[in-house]
Amino acid sequence: MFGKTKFMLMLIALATMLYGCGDVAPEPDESVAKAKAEHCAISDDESEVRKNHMNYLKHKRDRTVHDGIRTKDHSFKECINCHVPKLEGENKLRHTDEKHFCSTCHTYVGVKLDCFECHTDQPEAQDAAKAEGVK
Amino acid sequence: MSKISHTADQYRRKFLTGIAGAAAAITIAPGVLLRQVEAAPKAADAAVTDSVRWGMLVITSKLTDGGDKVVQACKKEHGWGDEKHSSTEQQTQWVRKVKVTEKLTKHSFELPVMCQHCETAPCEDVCPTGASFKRADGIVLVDKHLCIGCRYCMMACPYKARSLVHEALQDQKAYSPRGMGTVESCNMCVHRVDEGKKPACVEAEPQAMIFGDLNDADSDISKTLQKFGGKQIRADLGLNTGVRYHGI
Amino acid sequence: MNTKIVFQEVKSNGVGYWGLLGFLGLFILAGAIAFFTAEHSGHYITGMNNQIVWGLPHVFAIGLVVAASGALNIGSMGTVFGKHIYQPLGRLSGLLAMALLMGGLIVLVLDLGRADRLIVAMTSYNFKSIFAWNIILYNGFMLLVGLYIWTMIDPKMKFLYKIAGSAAFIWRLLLTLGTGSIFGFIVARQFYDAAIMAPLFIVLSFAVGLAMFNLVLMAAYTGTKRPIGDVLINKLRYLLAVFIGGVFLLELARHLTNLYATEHHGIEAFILMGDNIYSTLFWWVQIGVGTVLPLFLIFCSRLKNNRKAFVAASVFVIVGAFAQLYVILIGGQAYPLVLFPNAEVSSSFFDGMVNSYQPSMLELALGLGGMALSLAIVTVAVKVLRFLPVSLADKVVDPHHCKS
Repeated sequence: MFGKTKFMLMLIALATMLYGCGDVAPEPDESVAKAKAEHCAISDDESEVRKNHMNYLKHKRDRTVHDGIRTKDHSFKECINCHVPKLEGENKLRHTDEKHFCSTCHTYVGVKLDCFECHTDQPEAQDAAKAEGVK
Repeated sequence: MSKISHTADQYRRKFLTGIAGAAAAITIAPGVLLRQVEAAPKAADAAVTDSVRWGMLVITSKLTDGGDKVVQACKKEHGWGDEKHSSTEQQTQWVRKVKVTEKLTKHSFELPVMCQHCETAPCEDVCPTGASFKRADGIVLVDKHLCIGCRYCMMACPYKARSLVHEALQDQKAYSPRGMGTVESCNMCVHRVDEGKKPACVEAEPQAMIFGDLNDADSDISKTLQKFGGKQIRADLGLNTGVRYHGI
Repeated sequence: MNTKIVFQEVKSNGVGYWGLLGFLGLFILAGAIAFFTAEHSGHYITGMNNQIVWGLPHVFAIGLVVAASGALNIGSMGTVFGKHIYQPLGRLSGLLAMALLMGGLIVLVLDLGRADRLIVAMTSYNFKSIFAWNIILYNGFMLLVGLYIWTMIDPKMKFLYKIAGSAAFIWRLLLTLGTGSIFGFIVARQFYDAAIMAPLFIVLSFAVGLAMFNLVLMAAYTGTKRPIGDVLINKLRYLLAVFIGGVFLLELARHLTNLYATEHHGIEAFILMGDNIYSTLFWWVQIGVGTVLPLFLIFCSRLKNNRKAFVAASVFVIVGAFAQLYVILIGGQAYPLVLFPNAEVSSSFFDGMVNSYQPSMLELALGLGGMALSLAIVTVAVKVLRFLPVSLADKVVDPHHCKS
C-alpha cells in the first residue's frame, strides 16, 4: 500500500512546508514599548514577567471580576497605561501593530492575543488615570 | 406629613407628600446626599462580601423624561449601542425606556428597564460555564473571560436585559471591557460602586433614583422602601430583584 | 439466530460512492466557509439578533441531536428488549447515532459567539445549568455508544454486549430529557415553561431518529444492491406510525394545557392562529406534511409494501420534525416577553413587538454542513468497518416468519 513514490511525495511535501523555517526571526523592536516605561512596575525580574505575566494577570482578573479588587498590582489596565503611548486618531498604536507593547513579543513568539477582543488596547485618558480612588 | 386618617383621600395625600419628602431629602440637603453613599467604601484590596446587597429604587413619577437621561448616561459611561455594522435588532442595549399603557384603564407610565439584579438569577442558573454570576454583594455580572456566547442566558432572562455583541469593537472604556461574541448587560456600574461611587444613571437622575445597601436598614433606599414600598417587575417569578420601582 | 448474520464492509469503489462523498463534501465545505466567515465578522452577518437569539443553526443542531438519540432505538430494541429482528441493525443504529450527534454538536459549537473558547465549555462547569449537564451527557453518549458498537463487532467483547446496550439506552433517554429540558424550565418565556417539553422531545427523538435511520438504511441497501426484505421494512414502517402518533398526542396535550391557562392564551393564539410563518409551519408542515401525510402513506392499503411510500413517509417525518422545532424555537422567541400583563408596552428595544427573523444563507449552510458531516461519517464508516449485514432478506432476519 505505502509505496516508495508515495513516501517520496510526502517527504517532498513536508520539506516544502518546512522551507524557510531555519531563518531566524527578526528581533522584536521594543523601542516604542519601552519609551514610556523602561521597566515593569511589578517586578525587576524581566524574565519572570515575560514567562509568567499571564498567570499574574489571570489571577488578578478573577480577583477583580469576582471580588471587586481593583488595585493597581498586576492590573492589565496598568500595563497598558504605562507601556502604550497615548496617541490620537489615526496615529493610535493598535495591538495589531507589531510595535504595540504586547504585540512586540506576541508576534515574535507567535502566540495569539485574546485580551484585546474585549479590553481596549489604548491607555486610559490622562484625567481618568489620575483620578483618585484606587491605589 | 399629614396625620393618619381613615379617609382614602387623606391617605393618598399623605402617601404622595411622603414620596416627595423622601426625594427632596436626597436632592435638597447635601448632608443627606453624603450619608447616602453607603457606610464607607470597602478597602481597595478587600473582597466584596454578602453583608452588603446593592440595590436601586426608581421613582418613575420623578424621572424628568421617563428614562431617556438614564439611557444616555449609561451609554456614555459604557460606550454601548453604536455598533457600526449591527442592525437595530442586533445593537446592544443595557437599559431602555419602556412605555406601558394598561389596556383597560389606559393608565400610562414610563420606566427604564435594565438588568434587575435578581437574587435568584435565571441567567446564573442556565449559564453552562458559570460566566453569568452574582457577586457576593448582589450585583449580577458576566465574566467575559468565561462567556462562550451561547446566549442561553438571553433566552432565560425575563427582562430581556442582555445583549450579545454582534461585531468586533475597539476603543472600549478601560473600566468596562466589552467584546464580540460575548453577552453583556447592566453591571450596576460595578467599577464605580467598588470605589464608593454611585452608578452613572443614578447620578444622572438623582431626584428619581436611589442607590444603596438593601441589607442596611438605615440606608436611604431601605428606609424609603420600608415606608413606601417598591414593586418588582414580574414579581410573580419570585426572583427578589435588586432593582425596585415606585409608580408602576 | 443472529449468528447467521454476516457483516461486511461496503466494497463499492464506483462513481456512486465517491460521488456521494463528494456531494456531501460540498455541503461540508460550504458549512466550513460559513463558520469561518461568521467567526471572523461576528454574528451581525447572520439573521440572528438580540431579540431572536437562537436561530436556524439551533434548529439544525437540536434536530440532529434529537435524531441521534432516536437513531439508537433500533439497536436498543434488539439488545435491551430482545427483539431479534432488529439485532442485525444494531451496529448501523449505533453508528448513525454517533454520527448524527457529532453533526449536531458541531453546528451548535460553531455557532457560539466564542467558538474558539470550546475548551472553557469543557473545563468550566456550572452544575446548575442544564446546558452544562448536556455537555456531559453528549460526551458520555459518545463513549457508551462507541463501547456498544465495539461489543457488537468484537467477539471478545461480547460479554459486555447486553450491559453496554442497556447503559447506552438509559443514557440516551437522559440525553433527550436533557435536550428537552433546555426549553422546559425557562420561566421567562411563555412558550417554554412547561415540563412536558422533556417527554415531548423524547418521543420526537423516537420519530425523527427512526426516520433518519430508515433513510440511511434504504440508501445503503439500494446503493450497495444488498437485499432487504419486506418483513423488516414493514416492522420499521409501523413503528414509525406509532412514534408519529406519540408525538401528536404529546403535542396535543401541550397545546391543550397551554390553552387552559389564561396566561398562555396570547402565545397559543400567536402560534396556532396567527397570520405568520409559525402558524403556517405548524398546520401545513408539522401537522399536514409531518403527521397526516406519513400516516396516510403508511396505512393506505394500496401502498402496502411500497418502498417509495416508506421512504417518502420518513422524509416527511423529518421535514415535519424540523418544522416543529422551528415553531418551538423561533416562534417561541418571536412572541414578545410579557413584562406587564394586560398592558401595551413599547420601547426602543422592541418590547411588546413580534420579533422578526430572516435566516441567512450562512446559517442554512452551517446547518446543512452539520447534516452532511453526519452522513459523510456514516458513508466512510460503512466502508472501513463491518457495519452492514450482507443481507437483510426476509429469510435471514426472520426465518420463522418465512417458514410459516
